[in-house]
Amino acid sequence: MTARHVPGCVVAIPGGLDGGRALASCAAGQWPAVVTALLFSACCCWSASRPAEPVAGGELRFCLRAEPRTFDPLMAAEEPDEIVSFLTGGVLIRMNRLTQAFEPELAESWRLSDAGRKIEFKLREGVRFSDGAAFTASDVLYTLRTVLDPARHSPVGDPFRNGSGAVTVSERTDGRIVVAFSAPAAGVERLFDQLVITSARSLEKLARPAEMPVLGPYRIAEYRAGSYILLVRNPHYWKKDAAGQRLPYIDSIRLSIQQNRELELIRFLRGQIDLINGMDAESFDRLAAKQPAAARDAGRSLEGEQLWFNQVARSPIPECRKEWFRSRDFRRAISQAINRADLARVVYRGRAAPAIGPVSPANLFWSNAQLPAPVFDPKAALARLVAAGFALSGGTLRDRGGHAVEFSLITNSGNQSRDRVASMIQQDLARIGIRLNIVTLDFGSLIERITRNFNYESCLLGLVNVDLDPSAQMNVWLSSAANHPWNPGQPAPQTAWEAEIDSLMRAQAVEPSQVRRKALFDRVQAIVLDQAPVLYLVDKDSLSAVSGSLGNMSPAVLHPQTFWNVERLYFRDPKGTQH
Amino acid sequence: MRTRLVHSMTTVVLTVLVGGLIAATLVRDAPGYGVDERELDSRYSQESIRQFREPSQARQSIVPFYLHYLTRVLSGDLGISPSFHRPVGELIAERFPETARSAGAGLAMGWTLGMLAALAGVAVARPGFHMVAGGVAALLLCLPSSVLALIFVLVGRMEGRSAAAGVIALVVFPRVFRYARAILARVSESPHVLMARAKGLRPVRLLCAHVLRPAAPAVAALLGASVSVAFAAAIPVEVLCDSPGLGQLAWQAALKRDLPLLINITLLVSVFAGISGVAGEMARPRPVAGEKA
Amino acid sequence: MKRLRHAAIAVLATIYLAGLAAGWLAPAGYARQFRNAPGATPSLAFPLGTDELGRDAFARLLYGSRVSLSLAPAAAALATLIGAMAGVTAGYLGGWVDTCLARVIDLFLSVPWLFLLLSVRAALPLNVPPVESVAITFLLLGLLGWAAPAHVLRAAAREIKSEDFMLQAKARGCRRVRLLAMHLLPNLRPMLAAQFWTSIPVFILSEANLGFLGLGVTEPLPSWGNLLGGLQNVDGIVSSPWRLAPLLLLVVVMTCFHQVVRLEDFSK
Repeated sequence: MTARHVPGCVVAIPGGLDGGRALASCAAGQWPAVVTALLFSACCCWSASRPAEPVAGGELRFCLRAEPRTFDPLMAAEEPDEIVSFLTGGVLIRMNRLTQAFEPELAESWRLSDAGRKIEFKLREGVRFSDGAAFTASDVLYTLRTVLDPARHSPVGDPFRNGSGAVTVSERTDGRIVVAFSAPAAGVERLFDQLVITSARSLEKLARPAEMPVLGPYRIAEYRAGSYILLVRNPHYWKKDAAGQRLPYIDSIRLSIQQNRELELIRFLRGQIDLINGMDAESFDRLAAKQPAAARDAGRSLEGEQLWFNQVARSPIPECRKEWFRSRDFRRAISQAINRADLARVVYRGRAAPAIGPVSPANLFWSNAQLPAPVFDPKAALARLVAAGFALSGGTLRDRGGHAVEFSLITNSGNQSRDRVASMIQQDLARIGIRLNIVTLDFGSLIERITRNFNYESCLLGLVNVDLDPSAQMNVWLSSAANHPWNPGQPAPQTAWEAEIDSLMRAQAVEPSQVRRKALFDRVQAIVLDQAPVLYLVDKDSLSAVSGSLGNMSPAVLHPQTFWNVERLYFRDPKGTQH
Repeated sequence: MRTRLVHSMTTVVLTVLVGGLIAATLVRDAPGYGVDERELDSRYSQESIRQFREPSQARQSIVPFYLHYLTRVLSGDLGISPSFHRPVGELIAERFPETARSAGAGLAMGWTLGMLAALAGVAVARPGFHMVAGGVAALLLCLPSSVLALIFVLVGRMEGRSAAAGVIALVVFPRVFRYARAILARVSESPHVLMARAKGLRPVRLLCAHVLRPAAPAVAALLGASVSVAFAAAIPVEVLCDSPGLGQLAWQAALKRDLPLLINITLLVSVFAGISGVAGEMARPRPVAGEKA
Repeated sequence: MKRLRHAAIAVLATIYLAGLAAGWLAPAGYARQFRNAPGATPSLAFPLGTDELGRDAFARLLYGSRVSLSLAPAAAALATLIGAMAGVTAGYLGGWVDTCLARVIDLFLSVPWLFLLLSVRAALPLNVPPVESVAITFLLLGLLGWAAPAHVLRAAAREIKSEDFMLQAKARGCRRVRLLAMHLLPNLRPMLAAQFWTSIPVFILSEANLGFLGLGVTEPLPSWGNLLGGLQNVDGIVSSPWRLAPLLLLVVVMTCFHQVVRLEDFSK
């Protein structure tokens, strides 16, 4: 599926109406005026059809939805930290968010060898940190050794060590960096897209972020806690455009800390900010009504909503409910009874699509296009339940033991869309005699229930895949993993299908052939759809707001949707953005 | 007077200490304490997730924890915030002036408006005025502070501290107005006021000398409660108005169960509530001999 | 003025009865989703339009009245009663009793009781019916919300205690209990009334704010708190002014309560 894309540049082509009037006056004998007008129009069309030359200058303004917890790029775990890290950090390899292909950055080139056990980087020369210090192989070695330290618990470093065995880093005599894994590491390039190269000097200055030397297009100039972060261009940034002009084009970026999305939208409508990265459907529709050109729907994203049932044997829920949740027919029936098309149409206002499987079609390579779309069929759902031993009497579904089928669905509070999804599921299940009780909890309480005491029955949460590669999801699919949603931390797989998924995931993690990996992961997706331990409800669209004054804007479906190419963004009229 | 002050401050200190212990106990025993959101992040290794869970599993008893915390406070160490990764003292020092300014301005405006409206209500004594004033107060009581904040931003085009101060003023005003009007109405029916009115005393002098003065101690008693109301209002308002104050900090600390930060904020609020309560008591005239205080 | 009070009583009674008769006045019910008409404008079928899920807004307002108009005043009454007991006792008795109670009041005003509410919610079974869950929330709000009324009532009691008529009654040998019941409490009625009906919208709005932490009314049950929470889309109110109906109704109820417990009648 190709992403729907709204053109980023609105070019006004003058002359249409004037040209018509000019033709009409020809009849009155004023043909010199007509010729002049036509020539003028032609010149305008020609100049308008040439892309505008990017102009340097201006200040880009947008909002962070929370205070960054850290400016250490190796410990950036939450969205605000990652945004600052993305804007200020240099990486060896960067994934192009539009094409989803890997491109060289601080590494001029790289090479995989030894059946995927080694990756070798040739570093770019002449690169400097923002303080003028030279970028060398020792910085890469320092970064990798720091991030690979298990005591650090780095969200960037832990994925390197998710396989078995140690990871070693060394420098060759020709200056190339070699990272060696004890077992083949499939899809290893993706790990370096998140790994910001830093130096010991930089990490020493974490308490004074304005003094941290960086390799990215911007550096931190000011930080006012709870209020804003000001980034200014890195004077030594290595990248240049095709005309040899040093990047980035935009002089500075002001990140305001703004938690309320309503206020964020108001500020955008007033022109106080230039973009909103990631919007909900309701805000998007309001924006589209007022400023249609600014509303950008890049198509289906990697974000979705999912529901799963608690299958943990030791959970303190009633035994009859455990039995229901362990039944494939029960889960499949619930899946059939949920109207996903309505969820996408009503809650997300058409800015979402029914989900098919665990991988959104936005993941161009890894999504399994052969999976059948889920069918909404309450009658078939009821028939399946009856075949499994349930019976509908007096409008209430009962199991073999006569227990009324009633269970709770927990979700996090404060998310309006999710509350609405839960409400609609409640109505759908009521049609087949199932009573669903919605319980909204604050996030801390919810995490405690789903990871510690397992005192819950079913859970509705969002799913965000920031990494396309299935190896990034090992901690979700392996039955022994802590993030295995429906039954985490199993000493041994409790079902044959979970054992099969374990085996397939381990195989794809070390398989050098992408084609073979795809086949293995396709099979995982097929099993998950068949067994339905998790019901995938909707895949949401990537919605953003972009000011018309920005050029080179091409919103993508991958994070960060709007400013993934920040160094190439420019203002058509930089002087108009000075504050 | 000095004895009263010492006595009052001692009880305030004891109250603050007990308040801190209760707050610490409530936070520690509430669900979700010790839970780390990183546990849901599939990037982390099993080993890392085990490490995230360990501190909450090896919890020390609340009383030794609190005593240890108080010992550190006495040496100037307020602890490190686990959610912000910064010293609590630094965070509070950064944010306190913002809240002090917006809550202070909000309280001042709210009290001024409330008292003026209450005095006008007593002076005018017309049903129409009462209905209108009562209706406005009722409307302000019924509007969620988040909506008030959004109205300030949308219509008033105000942000940050000015919007926060305005919302706090509108939250405090109806409470002050209602209570002050009740007190002033009762005092204005006192025999000495009726006598003064019958003797032809001018309305302004009547109000200031004979109504407001006797009612002042009772009205001032609302000060302590209104400080708490203002701070409670500051929490959602600062979050909405993008004002980096203590309210915003308290909200984030509550969501993340940040115990060191929450205890310190509780102690600070207790101190302010206690001091304003004591100030209200000090403003009260001393009891007549033979009458209990 | 009597006519005004009668009118207020009539309006309140109408609203209460409408809430009780919601099943007849709005047969669609508060939960049914007309998914082909989300966000519909007012019409004969939907007098106040529909919400984002296509639910009849008029029905939700009526059913919400049942929850909010019964539970919020009950919580306010409970808070005012406890506050009156503590505040009047402290103000009247004075001495160490007053000092201790004053400090307890200060304590209650500063401790973050939010976490107690979270603990109680966690202790409740997951499948507790929504009405019971919200009733428990309001009960807790009432039990925890007494400190602010107590604070002001304590000060008021102290003032009244030193009034001439109180001293005179005491000099005439009036017993403490009689002084309290016959002289002090009647003079506190304006303040009690003010505290009571000021607390009603506070509790309704608190329920809405607590919803953010999962402590409010659960779906699909409506309450005025969660209906008022929908006003946060301030922009949308301009294009859909009928969404202000819950706010207007609450203001009307508040004003009627005020007329029914009118201050002037108690200040004599």
